[in-house]
Amino acid sequence: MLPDYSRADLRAARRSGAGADTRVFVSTAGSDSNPCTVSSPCRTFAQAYTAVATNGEIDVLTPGGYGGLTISKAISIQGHGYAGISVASGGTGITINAPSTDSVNLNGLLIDGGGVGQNGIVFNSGKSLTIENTVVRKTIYYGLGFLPTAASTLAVSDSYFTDVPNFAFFIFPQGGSSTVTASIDRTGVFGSGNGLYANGGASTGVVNVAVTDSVAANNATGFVVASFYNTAVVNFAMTHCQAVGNATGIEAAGGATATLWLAQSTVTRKLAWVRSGHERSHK
Amino acid sequence: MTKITLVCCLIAPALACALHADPARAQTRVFVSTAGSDTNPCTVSSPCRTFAQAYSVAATNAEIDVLTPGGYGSLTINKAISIQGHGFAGISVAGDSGTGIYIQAPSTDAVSLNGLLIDGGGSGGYGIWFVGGKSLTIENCVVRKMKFNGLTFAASAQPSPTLAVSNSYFSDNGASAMLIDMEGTAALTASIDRTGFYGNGSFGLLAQGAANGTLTVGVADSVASNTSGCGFCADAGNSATVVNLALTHSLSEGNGTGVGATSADATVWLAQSTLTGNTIGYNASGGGVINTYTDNYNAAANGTPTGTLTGVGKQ
Repeated sequence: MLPDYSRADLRAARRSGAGADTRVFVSTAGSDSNPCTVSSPCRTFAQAYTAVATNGEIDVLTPGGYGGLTISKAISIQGHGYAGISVASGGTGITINAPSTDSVNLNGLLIDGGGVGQNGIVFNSGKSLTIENTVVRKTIYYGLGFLPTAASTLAVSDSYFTDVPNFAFFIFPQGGSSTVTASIDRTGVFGSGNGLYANGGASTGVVNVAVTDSVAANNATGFVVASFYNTAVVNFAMTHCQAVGNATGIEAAGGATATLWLAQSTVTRKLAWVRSGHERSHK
Repeated sequence: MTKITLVCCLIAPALACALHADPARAQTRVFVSTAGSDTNPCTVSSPCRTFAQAYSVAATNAEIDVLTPGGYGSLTINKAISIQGHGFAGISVAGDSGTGIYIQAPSTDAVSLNGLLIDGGGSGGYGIWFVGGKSLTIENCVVRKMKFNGLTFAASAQPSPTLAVSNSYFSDNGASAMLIDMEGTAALTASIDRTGFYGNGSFGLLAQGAANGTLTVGVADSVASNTSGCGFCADAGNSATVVNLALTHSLSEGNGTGVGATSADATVWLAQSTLTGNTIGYNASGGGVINTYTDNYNAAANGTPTGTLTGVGKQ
């Protein structure tokens, strides 16, 4: 039976030139000269992004690679677990520079630097970043770099950041005196330099990080908190987590204003206590 | 079976055919696809285009199966049914009174929603709104950016329905991510498991009593973070409903209030949970009680709480 074009598809096709759509589509069978509708999908995230409205959704139809993207407005990307971004040498997979009113949602992406790409996801500004069911691997510097310049929030769940020689998952607010809050749940950081690292050394506000049911394995350093030069107050609360096979499992790396809270967790390598970090364990 | 369906559509307009489908021929599994059309019979080889159309030809207790990623439109449910979105079925909701899925079913009928992505884009009113049925089961769903509530589960009829939510996310909703509202006289129970409430407005999860009876909510392995108002909250207002909210092995972080029991007959039970970075760590006021098994973690930077915690023994 031949496919039948529904009215919804035809409306979307006619509308594509006149205004932005709330749901746009990419496919490896698509083309960037298409209007990014479900029946005429585009080929790249970048092209779909130009066609989608603020608070719209980019929906991925088929497994494959869709290219890097710079995000400057509220948007969500549904990768369904099979949408890839290959990061080129020196490049960043997804860069987010959004207004403080705008939330970004990334779900089901596979970002791979192949050992040469510089960063997986870098967040510089926006209201919030929510990441679910996403894998970032084999970039050189940041797997995820959450570097807000104002009071942004981060929520990461069911995701993996692996094989990043420098910072698999780095929370490092840049400037300002705001409160930055991050929750990380059921997430793994594996085989990297710094696993999950919260650093308050570049801002003067508060950085609250809570990690639950997550694992750092086979990294140089598993879970790290620091606030060098005693700048921001950093609170890093780990509950029901596991650090195994890391050269250093858990580290409070410096700064009297940085505190790591440990509850119901397992560490099978040493704890390092460097400079004047604080560590509190709940018995 | 297919031949009979085609004959029906040939001798009558497609829409009439769907509306007057003989219940004996209503399908037990119907299909939608972005390549489908609402003039199709909603079979796997001739799928429909919208949830509404697929619903109209589905039998009671049937299943709507989604074949391809895309949007399938809002739906009103008046019978037992399950929707399998497989993680790639979307519903875009627009307008203040817009509702993604509205459920008003008989008290014998169970509704299951699995793998849906309901998005209000900041302007659509409500994600899922349940006012009647035997039960609602939600798994692997995302409800985000609704202008008001993500999920409203309101029960007024007897026997009271049940709610089970697992492995889902409710984020960036303007009012309550999840409002469980007892408006009747019997016993309403809800179980929430491995679910995240991120960046919502007034409440992450509110267990609210508004009439009589009892409302019992159990939350495990879940997260409420960055709610402007209260993360996990119980309140019975001036009603006689007895509200119990049990929070186990969960995280409340960066909320205006981490955990709240803010009226008489509202009790929160805290076990093995972490509160951190909330402007007010906990709020036990107006007669509300927060019981703790003294095995919780109040990590750093919770602001001054309201009221006190009540220690209770483990069993």
